[in-house]
Amino acid sequence: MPANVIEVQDLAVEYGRGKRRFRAVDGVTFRVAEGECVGFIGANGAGKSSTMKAIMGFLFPAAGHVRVFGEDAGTARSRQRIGYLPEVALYYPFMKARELLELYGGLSGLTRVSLRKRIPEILDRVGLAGRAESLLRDFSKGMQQRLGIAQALIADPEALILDELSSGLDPIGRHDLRDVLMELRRRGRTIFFSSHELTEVESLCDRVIIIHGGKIVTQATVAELMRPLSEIEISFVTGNGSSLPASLTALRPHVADGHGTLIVDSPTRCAEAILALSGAGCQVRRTSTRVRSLEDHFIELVGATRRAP
Amino acid sequence: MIATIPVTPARAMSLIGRGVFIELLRRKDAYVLLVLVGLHALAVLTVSIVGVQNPATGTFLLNLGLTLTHFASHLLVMLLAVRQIPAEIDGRTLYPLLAKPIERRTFLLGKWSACTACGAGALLLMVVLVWVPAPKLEAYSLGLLAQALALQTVSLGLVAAVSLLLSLLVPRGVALVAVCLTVFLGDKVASLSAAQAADSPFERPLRWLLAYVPDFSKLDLFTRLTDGIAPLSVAAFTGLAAWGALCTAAALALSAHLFERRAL
Repeated sequence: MPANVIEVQDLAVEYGRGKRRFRAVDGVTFRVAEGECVGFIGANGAGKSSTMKAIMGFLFPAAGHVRVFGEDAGTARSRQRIGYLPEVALYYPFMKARELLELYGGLSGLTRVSLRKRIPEILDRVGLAGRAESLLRDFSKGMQQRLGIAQALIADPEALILDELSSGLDPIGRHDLRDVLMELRRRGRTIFFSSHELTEVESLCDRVIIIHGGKIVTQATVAELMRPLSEIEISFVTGNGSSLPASLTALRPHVADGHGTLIVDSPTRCAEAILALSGAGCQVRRTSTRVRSLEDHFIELVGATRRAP
Repeated sequence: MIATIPVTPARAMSLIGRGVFIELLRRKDAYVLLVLVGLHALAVLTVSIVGVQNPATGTFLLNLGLTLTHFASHLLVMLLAVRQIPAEIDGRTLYPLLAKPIERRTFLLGKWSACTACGAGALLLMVVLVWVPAPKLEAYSLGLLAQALALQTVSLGLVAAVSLLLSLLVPRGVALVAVCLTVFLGDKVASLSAAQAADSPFERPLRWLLAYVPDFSKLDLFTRLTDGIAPLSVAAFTGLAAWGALCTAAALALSAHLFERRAL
């Protein structure tokens, strides 16, 4: 069984004091195992960044504990093997890209010799080749984000914690980033990231954790989350004067001008519905499987939580 | 996997310090102060070429230049130190930095040592700019000059430490004003307020409070130098340097205590 890289147990994070005290994260528990790619999703203000900051030791838990590679969060040893991309990546405007990466690489333990080789390599990897000597004040938001990814990857860490990783990136940037993460996954790196791009989460992750209102709503593998979401749509033409049996009207078919569609949630029900339609004189034209996206599931889950009293 | 070496606190401090040097070189405030001292040097050079007959005038010019150097180097350190941590927090540059395997106190010490080194470097450069063109019609003790430079450096270290501490407690504008008042007018404000509070119920608490405010004038020997007074005894010099170092250590320890417990 792979070792845990991140262990979060009953974590609570609070802001403010006295009457203004507000609990942003409340009793969050999860683990990220070695080699896993885990997506952490939630609406704005759900508690994602607060949880990530607690993992990095920037915020102190009001309750619970966080361990990284078996060390208490916040210690230098716990950050030894981690690359971190903050939610908003801003870097010293007076520095050049090379100087910035020398700073972060040096602090990660890279020698001057290895930095000389690594910096052009990593800048090329994130699409900033030839910008080593440019001042960061001239970098766009997307370029700053690419540089942020470069600084997180500079020492080729064993685990990556990426907060809002595709923020500010254009579609090409997102595509490049997906390639980088795919390669890291293939090399067995542990990745824990938050993103509002749910298609990205869906395509990259082994597992998804959904947080809302500071509490975890669900955590499951992508396959587990998607399984109950498969739907089969049956298109049919109604026979002259035929009426649908009660077993089908319960499925709320949509019928207009002699053409109808109905949706069932499993192949067995699909077979039953086709038999019933044929029995009622209808002609089945087509069946198609509709797989609902993670986004549909997320909106449904979070929406239900919002509506709950 | 890329081979890495353990990052010692000294290496981390030097890397963080390098960032402060780069900032100093690429921002304008250091150049403004340097130009100011340069203009003074130019004026003194012009006067020297024209010819100064009176030794008192020569001493006055040198004293003026050294005082300007004292103000400029201290102001530079204040401006630099007071913005280091607030700017890192406001600019969100602190997160990727502290995500690396370094302790917060190492980060703080790196900033402090870099601010002090920048101030000491600027001081040395400005003293040379002021000393070389000044007409020297009187003999000045080189021993006392060395003592003065050493204590000025101790003073710059203390200014950097106090500036970092105050920047963690109050907004940076307030911190800058408070450090300016303490460094440049601290001794005068202290003696005036002590005299005002004499025989009042506030006398004791005020004396208690003032005992914790470092007196920076003790570390400024430039006037003693131009007044032609003898160098300090070894014991007096060591005592002053130790007092400055102790105050600096106390300010840094308190800063580290506050910074390590701060949620970011």
